Amino acid sequence: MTLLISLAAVSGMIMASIGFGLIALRAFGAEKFLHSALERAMSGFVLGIGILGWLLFFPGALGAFSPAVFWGAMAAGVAALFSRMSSLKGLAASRPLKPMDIALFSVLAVIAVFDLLEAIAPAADADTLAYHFALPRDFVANGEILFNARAVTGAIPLLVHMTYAAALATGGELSLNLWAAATGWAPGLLLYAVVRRHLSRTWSLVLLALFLTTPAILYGGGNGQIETRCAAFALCAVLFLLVSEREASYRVLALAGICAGFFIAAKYFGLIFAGATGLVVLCHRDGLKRGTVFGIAALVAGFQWYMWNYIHTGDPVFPLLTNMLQLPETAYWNSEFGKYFSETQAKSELPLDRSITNWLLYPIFSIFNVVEQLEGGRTGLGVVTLLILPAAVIGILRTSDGRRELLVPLIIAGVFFTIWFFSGTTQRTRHLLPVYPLVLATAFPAAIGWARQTRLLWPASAGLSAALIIQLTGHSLFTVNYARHVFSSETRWEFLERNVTGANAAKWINENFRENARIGFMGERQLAFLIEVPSFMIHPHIQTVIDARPSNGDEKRFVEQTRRQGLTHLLINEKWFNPRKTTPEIKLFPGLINRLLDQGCLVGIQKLDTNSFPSRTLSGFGGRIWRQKFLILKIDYPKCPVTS
Amino acid sequence: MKQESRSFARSPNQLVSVLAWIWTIGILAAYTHGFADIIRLLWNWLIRIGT
Repeated sequence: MTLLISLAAVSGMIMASIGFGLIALRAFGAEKFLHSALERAMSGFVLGIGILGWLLFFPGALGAFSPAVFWGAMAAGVAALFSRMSSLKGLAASRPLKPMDIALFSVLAVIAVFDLLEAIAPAADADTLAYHFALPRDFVANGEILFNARAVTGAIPLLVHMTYAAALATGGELSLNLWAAATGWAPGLLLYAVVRRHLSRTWSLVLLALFLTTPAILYGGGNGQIETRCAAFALCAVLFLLVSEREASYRVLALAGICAGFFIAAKYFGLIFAGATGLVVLCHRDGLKRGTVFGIAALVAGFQWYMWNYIHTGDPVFPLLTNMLQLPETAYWNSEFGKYFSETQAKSELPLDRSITNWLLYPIFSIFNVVEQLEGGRTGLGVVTLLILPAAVIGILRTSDGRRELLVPLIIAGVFFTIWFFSGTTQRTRHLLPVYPLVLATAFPAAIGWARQTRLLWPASAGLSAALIIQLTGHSLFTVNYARHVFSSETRWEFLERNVTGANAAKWINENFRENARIGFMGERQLAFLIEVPSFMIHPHIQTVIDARPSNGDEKRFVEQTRRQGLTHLLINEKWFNPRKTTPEIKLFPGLINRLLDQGCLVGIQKLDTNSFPSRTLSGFGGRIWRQKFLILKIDYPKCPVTS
Repeated sequence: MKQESRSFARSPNQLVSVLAWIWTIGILAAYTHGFADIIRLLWNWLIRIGT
């Protein structure tokens, strides 16, 4: 029964998204300009994901986040789909398949099965457990959206998370995982539909298979990571932008602005994308008017979460403006912590100096994994763009008709990359995923077109086949971990204990604590989704509500802050309570914990050993596994020091 | 004239063809080298389970 509800919920959400999208295509007059039923279905699906997330903000903010509301929204979308079924006429019509098409469909079926296995297993990605799934879970449990004063992982744009909340509330964890898998395919399918304008079915299927096995998609497509969904919004925005130019339609341009707005509402980097796209929109003989239409549409679609942050902190892009403009200090942030936050971020996220040389060499550093901190190997964008680069450049240069259509996506991707690189934000390659389909949508058809003209399809085919084999090997290795769970009697918690650091501690807490307990867990962000009793993430680097910076040695203030949050217990990694007492560490946070233990303010009630691994996938093949100790402590407030 | 252009299309410029193959093989070799540690790990794993 539960399985049926989960399947019904995810099917309903997919249908509802397509339905909302088709209504929008019709309302903005884009339907008649789109090339095929597949293009309408896929752009409708992407638009619909955004519309669903946008609509659900309002009941969330008004405290009406209930399963009935989610089912109601879904029913409205499904009804919309049935009313617009005529738009999808011809979707099933197809010409006979060539042997190569059959082979490629078989490869895609294998990829789909791999993704399904990942969806059936519980989510294990740390960011997904820390906030992509944990925040929607908390919103559903509370019946409303809650403001979370954590930088990077809390006070962020949450449009896609609204759809996660709907999936979770209607169909449970399985439905949520399946919805993640379905939306993970959205940019790939839209890319397929878009390149079908220029390429044969065979080459379009090759591109789809290459895209779906891209390392960054393997990493984030099947879980809650947002970049994959943003890639769909970005591609949809550019598709509508090009259609609006071709058909001289302001209404379709507004639709492009709405898609850019959905990207803004899904991730802060959407602001960079909207800026890059806005520049292209302005560079037109009718630029001001077009820019106004695009900008207003993007604002309407993207404003919600920035307003939400502004209401709670006075900073719409929390904590960026507070740091940059030195806005007044609040309970959530202060300038001293802001400085510490910026320094910490720079240390961990910026391995490269922001120089012109590094900007030019970034693709080389990333693709060939020269600078490992960019994570361009296992979670990067693969080698396809570099393989086709010479052919794509020549192909674009030799194109006379419609060159602007080829250049616009590349310019947007290039401006996005440039602003992103020099802005000082994280340099991890996977954050470029949103503009990767823009590059492929242009470069791949241009490269294949030129290779065909010059009869160089053999090296092109051989190179792309090799790239696909490498990526499929990576996908297979990635899936072994999930297949091992699905095809065995392993329970959910056994899987989690095998894959998530500290999962056994979360399980112990769930079994031994009741609703009246409130756990503060230190640093181990991945436990947010697994701990089922009330909890608070005491992260040392991204929040200041409970100051847990390594340099903090003020136990009175620490106790006061934990008391204010109503914490009854702490879950702490060994590294926080086992300092070498002869070193200056005694004055720092580990010393603070030790002093509270000595005073009886903190009382150890359980010690647990847990596994920790740099890679879940590789740990199954002899990769490194470390042992860590976790301590669960009770806070005995009467014995704690108090501020005078 | 028409026949000439057809014959050109059938046989690609030899130099361009050689360069295309060098590019493809070189890029793939360099890319694979970036995964040397993983390949080594998998190789050791295979040796271990095979013996």
